[in-house]
Amino acid sequence: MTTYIAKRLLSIIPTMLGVAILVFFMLHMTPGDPARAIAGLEADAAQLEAIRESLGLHNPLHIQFRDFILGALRGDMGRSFRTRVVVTEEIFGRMPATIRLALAGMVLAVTFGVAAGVLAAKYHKHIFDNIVMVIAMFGVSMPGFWFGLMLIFFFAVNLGWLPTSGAGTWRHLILPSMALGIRAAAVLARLARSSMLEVMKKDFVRTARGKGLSESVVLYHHVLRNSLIPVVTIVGLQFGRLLAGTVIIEQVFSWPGLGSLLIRSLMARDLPMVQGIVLYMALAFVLVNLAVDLFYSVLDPRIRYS
Amino acid sequence: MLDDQDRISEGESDQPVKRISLARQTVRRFFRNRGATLGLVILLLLIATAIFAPYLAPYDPFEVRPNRLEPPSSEHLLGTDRLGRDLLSMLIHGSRISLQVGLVAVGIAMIIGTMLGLLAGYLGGWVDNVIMRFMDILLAFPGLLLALVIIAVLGTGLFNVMIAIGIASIPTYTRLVRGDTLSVKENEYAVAAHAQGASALRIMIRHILPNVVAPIIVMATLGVAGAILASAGLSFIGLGPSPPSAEWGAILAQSRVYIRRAWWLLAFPGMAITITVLSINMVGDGLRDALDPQLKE
Repeated sequence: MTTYIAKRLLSIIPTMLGVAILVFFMLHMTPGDPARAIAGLEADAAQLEAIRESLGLHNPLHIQFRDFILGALRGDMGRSFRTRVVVTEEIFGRMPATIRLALAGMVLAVTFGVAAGVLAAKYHKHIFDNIVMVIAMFGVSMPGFWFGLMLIFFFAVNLGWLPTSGAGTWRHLILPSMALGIRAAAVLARLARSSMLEVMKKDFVRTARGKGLSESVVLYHHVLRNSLIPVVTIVGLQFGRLLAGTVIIEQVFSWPGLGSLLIRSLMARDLPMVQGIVLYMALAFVLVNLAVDLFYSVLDPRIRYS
Repeated sequence: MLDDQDRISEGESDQPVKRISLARQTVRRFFRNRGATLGLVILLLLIATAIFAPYLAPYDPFEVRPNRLEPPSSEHLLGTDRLGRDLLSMLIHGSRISLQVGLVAVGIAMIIGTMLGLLAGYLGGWVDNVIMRFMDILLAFPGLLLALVIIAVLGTGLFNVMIAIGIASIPTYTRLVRGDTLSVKENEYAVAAHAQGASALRIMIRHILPNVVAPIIVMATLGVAGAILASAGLSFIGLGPSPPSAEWGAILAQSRVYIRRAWWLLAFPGMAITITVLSINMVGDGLRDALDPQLKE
């Protein structure tokens, strides 16, 4: 198991290096002059040259790339072109808000999604099952940001129960995390239901019933445990979607996280900032997927990594 | 699943009658599914709306009129926006954009992804390694993030959004096709074709592709729905078409500030997106169940 974890951790290195290379070259080979974006349209050639000099943009691309990789390995992503602040400082300053939002969205999605899916499977072919599945179908088909706007309209503007935007208290967190988590909740509900129904057909479930175990013991001890593996796999993927989803949801609720920073930096061609945010988000995603893989062996002792 | 595909290919080679009946069975299974049938009816209506948009729209979608921010009425069924433009007409024209985005993005992803998957799965070796390691890198970008980076490179705009979503969706097709190719290429007819001296290209296109096409169709259908959602989101945050545009996400972006005064400007475009995506998802789910009866509960 330890060797497996070490191996998986090591395999992250080439992947992240690949991500860094791809992001760097894609962003640096794009048309558009960051110096121009910083200085504005009135700047003359000398001013632009001075800005390029100070940003290291006059260096050949491979030198810039070397500096970028060496810096990144030390945890130094450079300074923002736009605000001149240290990229990692800005990112770490905003990261907690995004993590809070993503976690809250995920917790909502897993709790309500899995519970709805399990109950739908339990009441399979009853009206409850149909209702849950219709709602879930809408959940996967609805734009999360629009759901967020509707939530603002009903609960903030009309009823005045919750704030329309901003962050700070737990009350600020409710609507954004609902908007962020709705899709994942719907996906998980559909998956949990079909996975439960699949396992219910297995022989060991019939045996358990035949032994005279109560229905709830069969359902929660035999079926649920065995149907969780595909659900857990999807949780990892959904976390990635959720993390990227914050980019849009943060815009809806003026949430002061990485997503809104990313969009602003992207528009301003603030290359170091965009690189930094993308790399940290990719790293978080890769690590969560690793954690999910390791969690399998807890769920299913037959899976042992060597 | 494999059994089913084998049967299809057998029918293809020597018993055309059987093949027709299998196709008919698939169609029958699809239409027995009420959700899928409903989805298809809605989708066909939407496609008709998109095609005949100029004839169906009661007004010119971009014509500025004095009656601004008017709530829904008999004159303007869905109300008007801040410039007095008729919302219903804008949404009808917007259906063209959304369906187009979905088809183009999925077309890019499906064609490139399928080719790479066939190559990786059939040729194996270093080709497989190079392609799949590259896909691993693309898959390390969560969700829309890769599309965002691509837009940062290409610039904003509707066309670039389509390309970005298309490229970002390539790895899913490559993985799917590669996996299926690995198992199909071991089948006797593929081995026989190889023994007869058929070229790798011919085997991939004539023998393997037809046998992996069913899951691709399902994934592409659901992919159109995903692409429409993604493009609406990207347009909403200002990376899509520049105004004036009837793109549904862009209408929502322009309407945000009127959330207190003009609910219709926010409610209806979102409903349009939801209904479109919902109908495509229902068709996709129905296709999956019909093409692959063993998956059905």
